[in-house]
Amino acid sequence: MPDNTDNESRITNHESQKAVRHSPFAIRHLLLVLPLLFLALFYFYPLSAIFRVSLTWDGGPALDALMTRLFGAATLHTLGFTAGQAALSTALTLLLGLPGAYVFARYDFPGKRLLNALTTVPFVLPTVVVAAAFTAVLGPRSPLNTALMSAFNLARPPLDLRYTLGAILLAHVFYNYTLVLRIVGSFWANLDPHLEQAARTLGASPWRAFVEVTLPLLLPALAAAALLVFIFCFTSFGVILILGGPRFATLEVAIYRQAIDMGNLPLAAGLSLIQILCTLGLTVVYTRLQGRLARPLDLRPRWVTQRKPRTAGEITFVLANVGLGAALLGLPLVTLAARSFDAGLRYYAALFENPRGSIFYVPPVAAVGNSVKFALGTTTLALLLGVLTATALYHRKQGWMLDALFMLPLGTSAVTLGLGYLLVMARPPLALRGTPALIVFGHTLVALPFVVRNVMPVLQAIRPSLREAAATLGAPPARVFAEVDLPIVWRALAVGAVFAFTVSMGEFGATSMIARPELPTIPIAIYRFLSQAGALNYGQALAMSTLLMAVCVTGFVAIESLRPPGSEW
Amino acid sequence: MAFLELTDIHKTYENAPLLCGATFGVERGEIACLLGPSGSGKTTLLRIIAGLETPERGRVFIEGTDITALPAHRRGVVLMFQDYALFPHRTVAQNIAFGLRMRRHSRAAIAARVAEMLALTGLEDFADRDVNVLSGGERQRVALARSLAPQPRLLLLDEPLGALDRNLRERLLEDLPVILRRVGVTAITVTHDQEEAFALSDRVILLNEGRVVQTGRPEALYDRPHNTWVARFLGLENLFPARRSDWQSDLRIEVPFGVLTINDQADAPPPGAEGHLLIHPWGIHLEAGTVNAFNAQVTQRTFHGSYFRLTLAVDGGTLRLDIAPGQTPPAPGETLHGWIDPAALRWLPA
Repeated sequence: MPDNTDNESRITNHESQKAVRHSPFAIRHLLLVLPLLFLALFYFYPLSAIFRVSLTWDGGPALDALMTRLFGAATLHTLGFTAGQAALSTALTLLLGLPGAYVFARYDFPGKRLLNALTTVPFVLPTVVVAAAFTAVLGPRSPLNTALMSAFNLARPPLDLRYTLGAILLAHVFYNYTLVLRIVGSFWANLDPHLEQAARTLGASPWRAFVEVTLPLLLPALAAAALLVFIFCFTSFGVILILGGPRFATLEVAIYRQAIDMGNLPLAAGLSLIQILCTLGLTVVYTRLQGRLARPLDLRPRWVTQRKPRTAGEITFVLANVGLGAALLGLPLVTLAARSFDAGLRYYAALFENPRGSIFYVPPVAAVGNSVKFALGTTTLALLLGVLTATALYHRKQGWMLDALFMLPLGTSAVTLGLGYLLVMARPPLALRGTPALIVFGHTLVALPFVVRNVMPVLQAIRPSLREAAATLGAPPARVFAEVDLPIVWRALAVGAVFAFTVSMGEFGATSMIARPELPTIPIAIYRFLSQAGALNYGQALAMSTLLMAVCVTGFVAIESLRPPGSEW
Repeated sequence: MAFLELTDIHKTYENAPLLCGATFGVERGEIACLLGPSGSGKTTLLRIIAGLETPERGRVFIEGTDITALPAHRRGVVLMFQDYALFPHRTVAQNIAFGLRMRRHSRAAIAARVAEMLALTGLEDFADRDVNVLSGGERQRVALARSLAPQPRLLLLDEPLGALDRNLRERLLEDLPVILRRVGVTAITVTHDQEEAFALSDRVILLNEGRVVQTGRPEALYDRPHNTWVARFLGLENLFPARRSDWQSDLRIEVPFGVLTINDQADAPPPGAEGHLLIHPWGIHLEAGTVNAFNAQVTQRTFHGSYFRLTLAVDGGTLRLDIAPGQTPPAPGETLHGWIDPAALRWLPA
């Protein structure tokens, strides 16, 4: 039976595509003009500037020097560390995330929905907050250290993971655990359990059935998750900058230091170019791999594939994984929030003061106002461009190429983008450097893929017969959109909006390159607090992080209640 | 003890009882069929026999050995799923070889057995095909070949024809029992379709609400359903509330549209008993008669290709019967006389 219905829906889809193609063809192309223009001006133009600067720096003999430095031992060392820590982080994340993905895919247990919502939080949490959270858990003044010191009467804290590789790896696992849970888990959840059971009745032990059947079928999802985690760790910035300290530098950090601390734009641009080539290479490998690994699968709805844990062993397994996830994801965040109240409300009160000689020119709380304004602007712009893009692309056969085009900013490092802005936005035609608008544009570029990703599948899933029915009942195209598409899509739009808002609230890499000192955002403020000595500064960083975390958590609990069935982001 | 014995199987699902004391046996070499409406627990029973579910109470025995706690892969019981569950990352031949590899057969033995199975199911040219491009019928045959390859002690088939379109289904309804009997495997199929159950099996095990309601050869089951539920489930609709006369010697039974006489004492309930009378459609004759005569009006006539189905209104109910299209069928509105062959009457206790 499932075969037949599948075939039918495929046929109707195909027919409707034919029907749609000839009439509003031109209009649908026009819809793309604005998003494409935006992409050209705020993505390709700055990136091309990086290429130009790194390739044609007119310093004469300096070019040789640049080349020597660019391909010297220091760069190789940085590249090695960048790839090495990314590989380690990826392996560790997969190792810890796989059992969790299995538990979420195959079992139904109380509190699962809430847990699902909460696991999304770390993924969108700003790197600076995560870094701050980990300094709170792993640093010398962590509750663990305090407990150990009083228990063994120690003069100095026994544990200090700050500025170690371990801290970096842990933070990356914290960040990307959810990615594995989501990508692998959602694929696994729809994988027909009959395949594994068929193997079992044919004589395969549980382990053998996993290795012979489940694992090969999971490979595309595993590869996708591994590659995304690797790219995110490869371009890691805030975590390395704050948790790694001066000893460690990824390419991304090196770009930032060269551009901001050393003022060596050509070298920064050269490093950016190397990084872009690396991520581009990884993406190409990934798409080719994906094509070869993907198998046509009959996916099953979740109520078929999931059940309650029953035996003692199953319950223990589920509890262990939920416990591990909760400890890994929850502990740093809870500690962070708890420690922000160490001095009562003192740290929060200090956010409203603007003492002489402060590291800001405004009371720190002004950063909250700035962030909210930027986030609102980003949400509006991202929704506008996102809906245009999704509407123009959802039914096109060749849509995947343009689709991929709009996904590009997601894989491009934020610092590189910021650097591009520094290079081109200082003079006409786009003299936007230092303006709030530029920050909004930068954030929109990062947020846009999330909006498109959320809206497009829903538009694609609307059965064409609904639109056709409305049309035969007398609705013109615009009316069809308003009466049929919009009521179905609005939840996806709301989810996209919350994503855009939180992405903007937490964006750090690009903002740190382009924000004027007196226009700090929350993440910038946190970073500045963390880089200053003193308990008050540290406390204020924690307080600010807690505020930002509260915004993100609220947003994501809201998303979970709005999430349209079937969407995975 | 039969080859396979299930005793008093209990299982709840989402706090609702699904199986409540199912008990039955299957003989070696027999093709049995679990028949029942959806929700009657038949697929769950199959999964319990396969070892994919554990019963909360009750035991499963094969050849006298209790296998209730034995893991699925050590039972030698293969389940063929309704959706076939072909491994999409393997070719036809690799799918068929899977069970043999699990049993660590030699490479040569596997190749020989796979070739044998391909021939048995008429798939000789499909060995290296990608299973994802096969048609429904071809997939079904690959699934069957894969299930039979490791020579299971017991083969379980869950709705083996359920995913196929009508024409294919009719053809495979004839092919499937031929293949199963040629191999001589003991098999249990599950279906909700009585025609399929009748055509496939030596014996039908009828389930309702988690219990076995009746078992028997298909013909016997259809001829003498134990109660009105079984009769209705099998599509026997001519049922009337009935009362046996009070005299032992008197074989008459009162129904709303008259008094009918049954053939012999063996079919009769005790005097004065109340229950239902089933009238097999083949015993209804549309001509004047001397025994069990009745008057009726035709209310509906539908054409079904090889027969007409007539609905007749009688006092207190309707009679349905099929007549061959060779005769001129009476039209709706016509009144007519008829009689009922006493051999076609079955007493069903209340």
